[in-house]
Amino acid sequence: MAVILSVRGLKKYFDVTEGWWKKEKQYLKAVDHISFDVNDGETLGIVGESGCGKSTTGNLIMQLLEKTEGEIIFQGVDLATLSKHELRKKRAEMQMIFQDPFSSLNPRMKVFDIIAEPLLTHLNLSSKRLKEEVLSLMDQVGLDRSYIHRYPHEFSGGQRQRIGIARAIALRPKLIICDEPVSALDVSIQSQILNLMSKLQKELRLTFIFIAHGLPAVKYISDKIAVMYLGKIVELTTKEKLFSKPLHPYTEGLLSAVPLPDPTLRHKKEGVILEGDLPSPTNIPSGCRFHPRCPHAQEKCRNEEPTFIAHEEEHYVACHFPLKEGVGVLEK
Amino acid sequence: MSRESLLEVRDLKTYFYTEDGVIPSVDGVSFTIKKGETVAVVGESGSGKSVTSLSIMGLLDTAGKIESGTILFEGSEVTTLSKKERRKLRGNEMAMIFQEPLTSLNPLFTVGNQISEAIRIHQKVNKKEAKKRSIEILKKVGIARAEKVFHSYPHLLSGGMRQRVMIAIALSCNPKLLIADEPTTALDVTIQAQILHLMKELIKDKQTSILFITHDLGVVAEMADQVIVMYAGQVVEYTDVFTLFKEAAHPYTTSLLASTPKIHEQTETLQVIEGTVPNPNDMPSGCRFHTRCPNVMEKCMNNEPVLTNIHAHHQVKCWLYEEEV
Ligand SMILES: Nc1ncnc2c1ncn2[C@@H]1O[C@H](COP(=O)(O)OP(=O)(O)O)[C@@H](O)[C@H]1O
Ligand SMILES: Nc1ncnc2c1ncn2[C@@H]1O[C@H](COP(=O)(O)OP(=O)(O)O)[C@@H](O)[C@H]1O
Ligand code: SF4
Ligand code: SF4
Ligand SMILES: [Mg+2]
Ligand SMILES: [Mg+2]
Repeated sequence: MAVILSVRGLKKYFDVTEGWWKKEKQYLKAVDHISFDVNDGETLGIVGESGCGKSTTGNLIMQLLEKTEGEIIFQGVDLATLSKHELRKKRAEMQMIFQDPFSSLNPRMKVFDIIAEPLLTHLNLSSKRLKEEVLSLMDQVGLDRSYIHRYPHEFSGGQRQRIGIARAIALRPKLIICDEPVSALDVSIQSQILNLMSKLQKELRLTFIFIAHGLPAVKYISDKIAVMYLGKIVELTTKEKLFSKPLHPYTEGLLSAVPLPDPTLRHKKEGVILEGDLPSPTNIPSGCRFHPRCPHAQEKCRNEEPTFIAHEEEHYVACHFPLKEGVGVLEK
Repeated sequence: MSRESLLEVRDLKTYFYTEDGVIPSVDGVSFTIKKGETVAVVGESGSGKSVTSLSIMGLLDTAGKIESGTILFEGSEVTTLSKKERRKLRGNEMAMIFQEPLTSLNPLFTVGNQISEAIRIHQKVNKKEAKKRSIEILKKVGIARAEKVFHSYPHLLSGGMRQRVMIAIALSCNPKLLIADEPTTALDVTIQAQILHLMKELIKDKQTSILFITHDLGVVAEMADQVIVMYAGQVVEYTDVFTLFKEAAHPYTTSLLASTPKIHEQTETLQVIEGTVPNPNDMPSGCRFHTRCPNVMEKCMNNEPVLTNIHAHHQVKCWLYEEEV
């Protein structure tokens, strides 16, 4: 399968030095050397707890943030080598969907303006064609045509997300980065949006990077899943392998932390409850950055940072002692 | 096993009087909490979970009014108590924790200050003794450097630590009833697991009852003995946790279960509940779920079903079960 996006050694360090007189700069390592590929037409889920660098990763790929280091290769082209004009054209093929789709938009824009805006900026359509195009996009995302002159604040969360999706697919992009698009929605609405996105993915041959803070939200839509912890990807593999045989102790902890909707499994969960709080990304633990919370930590973990390598085919992990009998949750 | 009941809510109606009209946020809710039992209230946003708990605590804002119904705590009516008596009950017998502890912690005082204060109100002890007890409680809720946290200000703590502090304050008066309104919703999942575990441990050998409010069926399965499913201000199903997950009867409950992601099952598709939660000042006639119900019948549209027992301890508000009554 063709790779559409390759990320190599990507880093984003924010300078958080307080006081200009300080000689030594202090950095917040939001994204700290991550690498992955995304195949054309597939979905890569990215999960991890708050502050682990998911949004920063998405914003770096979208060129909304300047990277500190690394390469972002989209459709075979290193985006850093493009001129401003070329980059603008390429960027039309990458779109983003946010948790709150309108926080960055003018509240005076109506549904029509919101969906039409990218078309106006990138294409030269007659006003008749423009309206037809907007209406057909509304059909595609399941929005009633009569809503075209309404304001987004008149809509519920789920319908607002549909407007955001219509806007994102307007230019027929190849890649959509979805940053927690369902996190704020009720479950019954979450499933509507997830199903809509799967439908559009098939119809339009879209590639998704789907960011979520929990594993349940990415399970249905992802082909592969990357688990992030404090700026690093600690495990990356197919959905099946991740849920049935995790190799990284953090993934195992994340899996067993999810409360399962089945009371008969309450006491059967042999999993571990991870102890401690998330460390600050301005003060990353030595060696393996997960070692203060890892139930399997050994001396080596405190001193040496594990490398992110393929442990078996399609199964990457950054751990000195990958789990042999990782406790998954998927019933066999 | 029949345990003594601690709290009985009968036909509670709480309405809000707003510029847009009267909002029937809680519209005829009844349930019982026994001693030592955890009762979960589950439902999507706006279904009236928080208003139910605030009505019990006596913490409704001025626009909200208990229209009718009774709330019996250890057999005595609480809705007619004076403000002062209510406050006394809140301090000693009932306590509440919220989704965002920062809103209930005072940013200007240290954690220690606030716990000691709570202890001194309920237990007649001096400052030194209150501090000693505060630190004991902080340790009990799993705070390792309790001395240090005692002297910290709330905003310097992580979300998980703050929720531990809130639990410490809530439990400092040994309440008989703890109301927890989405206490882990704002937390990361590994921290949520810690807090849920902590809550179970803390009540284990006490007889503390919990009213646990959540929108997450996973959390319900983890915590509850009994479950109340709410939709649009009403109870639509009420039974024990095992029956609910095995033999859910109300179409809303079954749809909600089917649209909840299950990471432990092979299923590849999520079922959908069409439409959205109704607007509270424009409630559908008849059964309030009829606009979204996959089983809707003619009579559902104009006639409201009543909550009835389909088995012992299993109540459902739906016309599908009418014959079985
Ligand atoms: N503009 C910024 N300046 C400084 N720190 C930032 C900035 N943006 C994000 N961060 C920090 O980077 C880390 C990763 O943030 P983010 O990518 O938003 O995490 P996530 O989306 O996984 O919750 C966090 O510690 C966050 O506080
Ligand atoms: N202070 C208030 N004023 C007016 N309406 C309110 C107020 N508090 C809650 N409501 C309304 O009552 C309904 C139930 O709210 P709530 O109990 O907070 O729902 P839940 O906790 O289940 O999400 C909602 O429609 C909400 O808008
Ligand atoms: S490297 Fe060591 S500390 Fe890190 S996850 Fe693996 S076993 Fe745990
Ligand atoms: S009463 Fe009718 S509309 Fe309501 S839940 Fe039952 S079948 Fe559905
Ligand atoms: Mg984010
Ligand atoms: Mg609420």
